[in-house]
Amino acid sequence: MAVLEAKNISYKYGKGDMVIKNLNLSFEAGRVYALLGASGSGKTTLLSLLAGLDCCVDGSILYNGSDLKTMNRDRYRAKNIGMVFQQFNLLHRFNAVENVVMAMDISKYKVENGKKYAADLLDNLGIDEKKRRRKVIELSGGEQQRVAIARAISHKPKIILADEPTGSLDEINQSGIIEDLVKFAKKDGSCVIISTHSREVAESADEVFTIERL
Amino acid sequence: MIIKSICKNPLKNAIYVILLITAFTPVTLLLNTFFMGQEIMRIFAEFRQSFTDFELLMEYDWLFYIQRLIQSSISSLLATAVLVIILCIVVLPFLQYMLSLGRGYEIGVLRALGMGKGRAWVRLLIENILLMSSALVFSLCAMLIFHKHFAFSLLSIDAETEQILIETFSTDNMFRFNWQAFLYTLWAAFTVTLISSALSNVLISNSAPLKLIQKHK
Repeated sequence: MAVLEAKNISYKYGKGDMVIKNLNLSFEAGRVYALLGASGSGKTTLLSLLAGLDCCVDGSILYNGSDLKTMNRDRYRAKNIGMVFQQFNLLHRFNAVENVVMAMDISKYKVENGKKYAADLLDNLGIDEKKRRRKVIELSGGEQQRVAIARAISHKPKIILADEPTGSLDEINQSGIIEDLVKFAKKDGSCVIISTHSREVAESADEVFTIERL
Repeated sequence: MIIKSICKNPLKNAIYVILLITAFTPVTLLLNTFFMGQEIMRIFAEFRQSFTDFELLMEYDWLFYIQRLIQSSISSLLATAVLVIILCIVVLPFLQYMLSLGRGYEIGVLRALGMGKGRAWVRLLIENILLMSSALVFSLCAMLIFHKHFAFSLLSIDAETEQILIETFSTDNMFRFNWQAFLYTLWAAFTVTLISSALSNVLISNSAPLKLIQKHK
């Protein structure tokens, strides 16, 4: 059964042209999907709609059969969505552990020792204790993206949305990041949706949706 | 670190400096004009009074009044110089942090993590209220401490010590420094800068925080 469905959705910015028109997609738990398309094809817009950051002008997005328009989208995002961005979008004045704990706090994800849990998660992703203590801005791009992945999976969301997660990284880091993201998400049975313009990244997905510019 | 940061983003930093100057210049100018103007007017009034009387004019201590004028100018100039140093070393990095991609960026991230719009905004407002309050408390304390009468009563200084201190800062002291003008200028400019940075932070963050994550790309 689909955990997330886009049914005939359309979207446009303000009074501009349609960015997405009559799109139908279905995503299942435990699977990895790639949204492959050129820049400006609407991949980021689609991820924003799936995350409930914005509403489609037409059609509906269903999470476990419930329309996002009828739900508290902040709560939906906090509990069920993990996001990974191209530019990492970490909170710069906090260290790696605090960034992860912040996401757990917002989602109200309860564990016995939040900081230890976050530290272990980061450790599994290759962020050692020394690096965990540093402000995230002092970490390399690859390390920051690993912190972002830890933040995204920390509260075991049903869906992980990754917007060009390797866009700011070199080739060596690229494959490692995707591998880690897929490995950890699959372990928790999450559905991973990766937007990318890279065919190599798309190859690591179970299913590829090609999005073309309107 | 500051120089490195300034070199990294010269345009952005130039904007911050302009913002800073815009914030503190009117106050510095106003207060300098007020204190210097007051001093000059007093000197002028004394001079005019003595000018009506030839004998007094002959006795007029020109050197003393020129010195007083120079002292006032120096204190105002020093106040401005110290202000610029303080602003560059202390306030500029602080303001840069406040405005750099700003809390708008932070709110955008928190919203993406699922924090409610209201909660994110309350968080921003509380931080800014705290910031403005601390700026106000700091400036009020500075004013109270540096204002000698308040300071004396607050610190319970005895009359004899008070007299010594008053004499030290007395107007009759030829080499006196216009501490009051200097400190009031410093205090007012610092307060205005902090408050304006906090307000501009709120105003900047008001510009569609949700869209900032996408814009940041």
